[in-house]
Amino acid sequence: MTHTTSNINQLHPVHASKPIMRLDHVSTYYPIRRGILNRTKDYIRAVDSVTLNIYPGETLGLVGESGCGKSTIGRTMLRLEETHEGRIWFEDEEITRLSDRRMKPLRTQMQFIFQDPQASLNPRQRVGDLLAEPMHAHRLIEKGAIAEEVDRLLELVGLPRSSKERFPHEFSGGQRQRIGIARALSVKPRLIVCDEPVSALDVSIQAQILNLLQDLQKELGLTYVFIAHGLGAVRYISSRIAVMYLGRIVELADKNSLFDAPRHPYTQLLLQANPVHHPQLRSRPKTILEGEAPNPANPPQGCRFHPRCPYAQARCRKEEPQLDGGAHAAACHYPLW
Amino acid sequence: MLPYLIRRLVISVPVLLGISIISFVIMKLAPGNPVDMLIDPNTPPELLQAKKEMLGLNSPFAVQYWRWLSGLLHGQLGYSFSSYAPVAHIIGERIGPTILLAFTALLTGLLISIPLGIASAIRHNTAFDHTMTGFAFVGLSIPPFFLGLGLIYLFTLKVHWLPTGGMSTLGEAGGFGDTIRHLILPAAVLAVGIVGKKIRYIRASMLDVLGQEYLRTARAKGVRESFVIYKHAFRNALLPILTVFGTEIPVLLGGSILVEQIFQWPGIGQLTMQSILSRDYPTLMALNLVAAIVVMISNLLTDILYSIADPRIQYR
Amino acid sequence: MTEPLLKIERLSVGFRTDGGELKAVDDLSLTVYEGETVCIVGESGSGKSVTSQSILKLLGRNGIIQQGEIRYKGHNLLGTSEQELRRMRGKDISMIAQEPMTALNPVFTIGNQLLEAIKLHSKRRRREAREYAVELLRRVGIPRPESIMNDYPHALSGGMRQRVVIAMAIASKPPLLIADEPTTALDVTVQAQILQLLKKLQKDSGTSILLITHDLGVVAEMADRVVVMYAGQIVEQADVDALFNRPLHPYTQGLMKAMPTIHTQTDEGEDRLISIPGNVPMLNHLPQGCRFHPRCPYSQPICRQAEPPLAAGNDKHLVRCWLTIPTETIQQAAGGIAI
Repeated sequence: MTHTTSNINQLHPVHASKPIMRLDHVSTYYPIRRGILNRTKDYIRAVDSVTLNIYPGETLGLVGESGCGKSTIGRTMLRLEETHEGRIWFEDEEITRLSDRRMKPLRTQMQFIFQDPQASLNPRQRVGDLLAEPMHAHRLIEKGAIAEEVDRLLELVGLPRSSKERFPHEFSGGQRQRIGIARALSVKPRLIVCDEPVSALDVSIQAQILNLLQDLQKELGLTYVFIAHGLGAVRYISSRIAVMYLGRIVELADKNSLFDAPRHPYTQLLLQANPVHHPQLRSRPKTILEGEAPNPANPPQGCRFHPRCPYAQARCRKEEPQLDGGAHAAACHYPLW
Repeated sequence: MLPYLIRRLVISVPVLLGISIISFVIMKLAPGNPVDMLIDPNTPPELLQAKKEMLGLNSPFAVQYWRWLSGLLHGQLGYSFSSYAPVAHIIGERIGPTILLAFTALLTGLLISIPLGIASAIRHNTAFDHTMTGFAFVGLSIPPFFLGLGLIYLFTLKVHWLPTGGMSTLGEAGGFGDTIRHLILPAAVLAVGIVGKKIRYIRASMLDVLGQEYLRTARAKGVRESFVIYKHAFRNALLPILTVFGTEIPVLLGGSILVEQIFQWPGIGQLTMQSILSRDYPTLMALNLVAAIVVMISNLLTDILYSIADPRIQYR
Repeated sequence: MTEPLLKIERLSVGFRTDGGELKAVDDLSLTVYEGETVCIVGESGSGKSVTSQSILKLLGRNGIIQQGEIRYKGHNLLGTSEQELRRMRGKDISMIAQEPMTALNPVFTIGNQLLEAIKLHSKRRRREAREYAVELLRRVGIPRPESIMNDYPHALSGGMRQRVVIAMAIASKPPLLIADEPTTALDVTVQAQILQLLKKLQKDSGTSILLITHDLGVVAEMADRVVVMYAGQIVEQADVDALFNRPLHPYTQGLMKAMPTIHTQTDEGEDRLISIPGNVPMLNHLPQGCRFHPRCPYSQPICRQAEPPLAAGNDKHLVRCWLTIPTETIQQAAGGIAI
């Protein structure tokens, strides 16, 4: 193979195995059109040259502020967005420009769980039909066995069998997310991209869903990409975490290492922005990250974070840092350690 | 905004061309021809042939269309087959009364349906609201010819307040007051249709806005309720209303065909009817073109108004 | 003790629905003293937002205040005429609404909406009012305030819009600020900025804040005192340190355990989150007895039969749970039901 895999993931024991998915300098741009001829004048660089490996059985957390490209990257992985540049592999097969027909069998291997299950479930379909439909579409199992499989799925996600006779709107938010998970599981996927799966749920329900996702991973050997802005949930569920800023990965590390000893100033400030978990910690000094992320159509020169970085120096304004090697990688000229 | 407008105008050229071809085809496919319609059935066939030749009706279809189109490009709409007057002149004469009628109806419709729609939304689910819904339903379902004849019966034959039709009283000087008296009934018939359709629409639009969080913000600031409704809510409710009133203009034009017929109003609608009956091709083609242009302009106008009323909308 | 700034007593609020009237808030009492921050924390349907909206009678057409008193500086707001109440809104008590994306009117400029708030309660002339508006925008940390005045809300990010909403709320220097989930829709980084801004404004002007949130992290960051609500009732009320050091109600305990924090070291597979089983109850399907009992790990027979009272422990720490009440008292109250 001619592409260059960075060595950043290779030190972690999990990663002795072959990646299930690889992104090599992947960029996803959205065109900005204007003028009389409506020509593309510029691009919003939602994801800009991201290289990333995802290993079987792990949960890769993607975090960052809104607009950093974390959702776009999840959609790009599953070919729900067209890749502008770069290449994507699912195991040994390059899927970057695969036709819909050849993509179809692979679609059962990769599934998506949405933030708002309500919007992703057809309100006029009974839950039983919702779950059976993908099995029919992909002819995964014999017709006679489908009903049994639906029961098995419902049990797997902790819903009573009687649920299949009901419509999605009859369920609470947490239960609907269980239905969304069951639907994703109905095609027996190996990789699931979860885009903010618990953000819309009540606090007491979030833990139920996070636990469910974790149980399913153990039971079925699933690989997750977990996209969220709630850092607590990400720390709980992930094995590795990638921090994104303006379309780029700025830090990538094992979760405990990342949370306990961040190397990139942005990660450090992002963690400090999280509210304390006990009132006695309020007085602890912390730096508040000022301002907001700039427009991804026109990212700053040099390091994209430099205008907000308390440690920025002359070099940061000119030269864009690359993700360095090692198990705990950061894209910073002057990392914290 | 300007590039957007230019693009829209450029696109409208092929659209108009397409419309003119389609209407030309349909017109030619319709049975009968102007010569048959025009003349005494006892005329010898040679004379009819000569007449057809003179009007250019014997040339192939494409040639006829091309003749019309090149005339148009030179600013010529041709001559009417029935009155031999220039088409542009005929239309010019008739367009004024139709504009007067349509805009009076539109304005009246607006002035009635907006306040009633808003009041209906504010008093959501009260007796008033239900009554308005009932009125809207009646206004929507009553056929215009029936309403027109009913009004003539009531206001002309019974109480002699208003004239039966036309635009001015024969044998009198006419004048503004006289025109208004003639305008009332046809405009009322058209307006009833508008009010029937729009009350429910405005009510729904207003109800939607009344649930918005920014109204709570305004109330929490201490803004008085009438201001909350007429400043904060109304501007927002106006946006969807604007779109439907833009689309109402072409509908009015269609509606005027019937109403002008009932009330003998000397406008485009009546002319259209006469031209269809006499297969007056040049006039019909010109009328089609006018209608297409009106539709396009009112759509464009709606979009422009929309972008003025809603700062979130920007055309590029 | 000094007279509280806000004193809500035995408030019940209902909502008219197609299925009859639902009680969204049930017999709620709370006080806010001058200069303090009280947090109401709860999940969807707990009645926390309804409580905050009933203070200024901004419930919307279906809400009905069924009983109770809301006293502001000793003055009963529920007996006040709409006209007088309108003069108090924004001047004595301000509100910061939940969704910065929808809290501003999309068709008017920031300046227009801010000036409206200023002019309603002061006699400033046009020029002065405009200068004050720019000054307010600067105070809430908006860069280039002069040009923002002419912008429409859609041109601003969520964080900037929330700052504008705050600027409007503090325009007349109200003694009480009600903030309903002011940071829920925002990124953590922007949330930290907004919370810091609220703290600073409070320090500068001594404003009391009633903060509604679902996030215990925000509570830990902001509150002096905390009210925990569940299914329309207060289940626990305490000083913030007391609550976090020793939560007494099983629901509060459950919430604290269920919340994953960034500070807990976890290794894969170990250490599951302790979740609260079941679902948040619907108001038209409230359980008999204690409203939390179907989800409570310590549920006893009495919890299914009788609703526990909100009783005081030590240090004004109130809790609504049979387990915290001595057995003799329960037996007296319940007429000898075995536990």
